[in-house]
Amino acid sequence: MMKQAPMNLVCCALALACAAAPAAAQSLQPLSDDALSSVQGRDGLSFDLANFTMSGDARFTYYAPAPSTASAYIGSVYATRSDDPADPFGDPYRIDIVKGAPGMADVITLSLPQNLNGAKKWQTAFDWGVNADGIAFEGGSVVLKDMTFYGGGMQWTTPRVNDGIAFGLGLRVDIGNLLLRPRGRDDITQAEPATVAEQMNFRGLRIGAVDSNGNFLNSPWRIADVSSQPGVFNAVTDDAGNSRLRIGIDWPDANGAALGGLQIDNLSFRSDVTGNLDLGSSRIGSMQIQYLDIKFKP
Amino acid sequence: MRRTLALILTSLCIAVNAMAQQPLDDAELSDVSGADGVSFAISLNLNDPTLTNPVTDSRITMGFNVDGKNTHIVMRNPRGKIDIFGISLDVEKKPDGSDYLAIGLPAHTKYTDFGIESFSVQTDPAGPVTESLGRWSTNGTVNMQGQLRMWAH
Repeated sequence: MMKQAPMNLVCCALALACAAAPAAAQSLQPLSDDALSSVQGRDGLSFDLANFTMSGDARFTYYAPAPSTASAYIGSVYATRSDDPADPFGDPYRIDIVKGAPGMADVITLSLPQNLNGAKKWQTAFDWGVNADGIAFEGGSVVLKDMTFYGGGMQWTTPRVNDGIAFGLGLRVDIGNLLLRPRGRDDITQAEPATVAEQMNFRGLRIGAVDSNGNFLNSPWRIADVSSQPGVFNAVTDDAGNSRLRIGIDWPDANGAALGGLQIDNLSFRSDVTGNLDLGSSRIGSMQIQYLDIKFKP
Repeated sequence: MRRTLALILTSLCIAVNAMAQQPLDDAELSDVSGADGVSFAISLNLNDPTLTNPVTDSRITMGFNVDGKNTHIVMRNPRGKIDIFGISLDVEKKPDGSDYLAIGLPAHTKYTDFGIESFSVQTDPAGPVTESLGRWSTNGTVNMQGQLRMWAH
């Protein structure tokens, strides 16, 4: 048996040689650095939803650290998004890796659809509640009707100094109605159904970039930008030894922080107990986030 | 016996080489059809503490060096159960003829105590959790319909 083993190896080697011979005949060509750098494939990923709907009774619960027994939840999330049947593949979400500033790391970008005709609309709702000090409070439902994003997205890279995740965030969104219904969800396809006894209705919310006069520019508000005013997510320990989770937005470069606007066409309350109240419209014409530093401690 | 097997393998190799393979271009290859997708289900039990000899200290950590000090985000004992039914994978064509990956979203996903035991920030990633920021879990079902479509650009 010991003498058969080398023969078998020879046979297998011959078999492999037979298989490899045609490939070897087409000899491989070396590529110089220049030639290699010109090799191109597809360099990003597009994706989109089609006919999307989600629902169910799943409940996400956060529990405060012991010895507290307090908790808070959101649950029964419903979401659906309309499609653009005229162009189902022409305006997707996009993930790319682009070159960073000179000397800086590359940047991962997630770009939302431009959605110029507003065909991609979200309808969402969820329930929420809090349980603390022995009292279970059911907060009712939050409904976001006709929520429409126009461009914007996120960026991720490494910070210029220290460790962490540097991020950018651009937001341009219109929301037809933000509804708070303390007695339950009711009909979320309507903003003011007769069967809803109580609700708070923010109608016509708009968030986006504005000019110095507060006029909306129909482009995303660059709340954070990895090249000019990066956001950062990391964990830090101060000189006293306290470790904290940190989310922040750094100071802007010499061009200053981007201008953003918030507009609410109408805010109203409906109640079968106290009556109805119409507070009219509200608007923050122009605002900037110069610096933000949030630390979490138990 | 081994010699016989080796000779058979060698013969097969020669026979295959004798029948020269024909290259297929991309268009011909895309016309090759068989079953046109795959559906699957997932049942995941993660770190179940009720089973025999369970893991009691499983951690997901992320470390950051900031101003010379190392600090870690620690998620301890991710655990729970997820049952997912009705996911599908398929390759379909766009109107321009190019292909995309169509992921059929799961019709039914059931979460049972799926979450983590504690979330903390500390200098020693393996040390005891003394300042937890809390914990979370998910229970119940999620039903989805529609597709997630993916393609290169």
